[in-house]
Amino acid sequence: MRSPWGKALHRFRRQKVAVCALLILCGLITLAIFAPWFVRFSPLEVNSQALQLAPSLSSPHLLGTDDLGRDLWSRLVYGARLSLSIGALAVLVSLGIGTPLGLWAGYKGGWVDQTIMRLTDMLMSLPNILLAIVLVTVLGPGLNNTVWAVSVVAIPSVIRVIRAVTLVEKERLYAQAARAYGAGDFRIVLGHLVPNSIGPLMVQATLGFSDAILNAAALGFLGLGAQPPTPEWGVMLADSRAYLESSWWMVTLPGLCLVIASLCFNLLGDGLREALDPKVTTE
Amino acid sequence: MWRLFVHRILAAIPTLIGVSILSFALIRMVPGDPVTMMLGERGGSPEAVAELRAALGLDRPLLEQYGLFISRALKGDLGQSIVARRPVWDEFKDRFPATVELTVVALLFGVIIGLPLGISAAAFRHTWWDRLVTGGVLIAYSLPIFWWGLLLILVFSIALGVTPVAGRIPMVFDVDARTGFMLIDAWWSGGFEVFWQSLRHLALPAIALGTIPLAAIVRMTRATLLEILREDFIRTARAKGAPEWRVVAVHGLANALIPIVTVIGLMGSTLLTGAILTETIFAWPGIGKWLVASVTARDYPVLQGGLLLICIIVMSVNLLVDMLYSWLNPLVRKSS
Repeated sequence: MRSPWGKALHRFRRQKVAVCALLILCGLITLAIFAPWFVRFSPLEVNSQALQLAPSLSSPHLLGTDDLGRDLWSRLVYGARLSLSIGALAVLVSLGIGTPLGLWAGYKGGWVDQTIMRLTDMLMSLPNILLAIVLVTVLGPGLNNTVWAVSVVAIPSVIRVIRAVTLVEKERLYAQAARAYGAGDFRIVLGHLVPNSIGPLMVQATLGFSDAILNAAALGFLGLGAQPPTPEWGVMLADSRAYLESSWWMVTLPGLCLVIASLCFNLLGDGLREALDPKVTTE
Repeated sequence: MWRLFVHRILAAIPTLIGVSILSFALIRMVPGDPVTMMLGERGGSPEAVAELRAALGLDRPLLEQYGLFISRALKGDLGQSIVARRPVWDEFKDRFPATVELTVVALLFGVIIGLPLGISAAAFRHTWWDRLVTGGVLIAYSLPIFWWGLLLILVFSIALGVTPVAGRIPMVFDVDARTGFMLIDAWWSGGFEVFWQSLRHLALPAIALGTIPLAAIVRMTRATLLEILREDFIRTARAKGAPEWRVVAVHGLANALIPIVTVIGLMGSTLLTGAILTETIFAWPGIGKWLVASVTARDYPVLQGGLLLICIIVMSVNLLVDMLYSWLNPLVRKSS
């Protein structure tokens, strides 16, 4: 007999696509953490002798340089560092705020549930990016505020998922048994409901990672997030707009990094969902 | 049906009040004093500051200010744009058709390409074609629209030179803005040639924006059809000797339409999000570009009014979809 986690791990390992995505992500994370070891140039180092060099195997600038002669590979690697940390922080913040609210709404019901869900509806009635833009307007543009804006945008869906899980789990026999045993609300929620919502939480966290990275890049692209010369992927894309005709690599490479990161998190999330929830079957 | 309608309208009121508070609070939470910011570099004498403060009602208690904001908004007065020095509502009215045109054509693109892709993927399930389509959908879901738009420009405008880079119509054409929808206005004032020009301008933004609904439609069509093709009535149709294309396209698709329509309807908010970025990339003069510009220019009345209007649009679209849904679905239709 395997433990439930062992079974989940077994189911996960059978999904080749999700495992691949996880491996790529591990690679990206390694690059991000040990960024200085992998680059030859500083991402901010301007070089007027090497403006807009095309990618080539023979040059020290493997992926070429941008309009100021900065090494693209260095900027992309440091960009991974930024995007992944924004994603991680946003997931932590949104789960940290959304989970208790979702648990509370689902467990208590009544006016608590009503109030929290109406607030969630309100946040969801505004398009994602617009909400982030509004928050950044109030907080002011910049990297730190991007994290806050992107986190707040992610909170409503966390609340919804956790609330839905709580609504189901609190009616289960084990929760009722705990109550009959005389366990208080606090104990039931923390000791029983939380451990049983870890699966959906993990899925939500992975998918949230992808959304956070894309939203942060969109803010950077609009000039409201990270500011130049920060080597952030969205900012790099915004910079590249003026050089579309002369340097295709300045446009394609940062975007490709974004797609790879976001795609891998989405694939990993799908894989986790399948591994953790055996009831869900794919066609 | 009408009861559902009234019920939904009533349920929307708390949300609307919430968003109105949010957009009201916005202008008061921004760092710095909005009045000095509005007066600009010229600065302003203390009298001018006091005057503007009084004109905006900022000298009154907060609750009264909110009441004033709401009663004015109900009358259609959303304040004055600082940059354009025109009522926010007029500014919005001029730009809204451009956004509607873009989103409607994008949605059409998504439906016209997405339905056949989804149907064929379901019909040829588990073949290389199915894998190609599902793989493409996965990538499309993770595609940031601002990069996708730039890629399209790179390929179609710069490498191939078949489409213009930005705008709605070349300046040389004098198009009379009768409806605000460029495709119609162009046809009206210049016939096919001008229409063609405006269509060429619209093509890339619509494809960029339409890729999101495209992916959602393919995914939903394929999943629903696969489920329906396992039903008994499909087996009956096959047993009767109906050709496979007829089984899929007629018996299958007719029953798959409801979830597909729902998915299309739920794209409202996503499409508006996408429009904000698409319009910025392609210099498309709609409300998305207008709102982004208002943030950069610190034109707070525009942002405040635009927020409220967008929220109303999103909620109206959702309501419309619900009504359409209950009308399409005989089970719901009968019960109400």
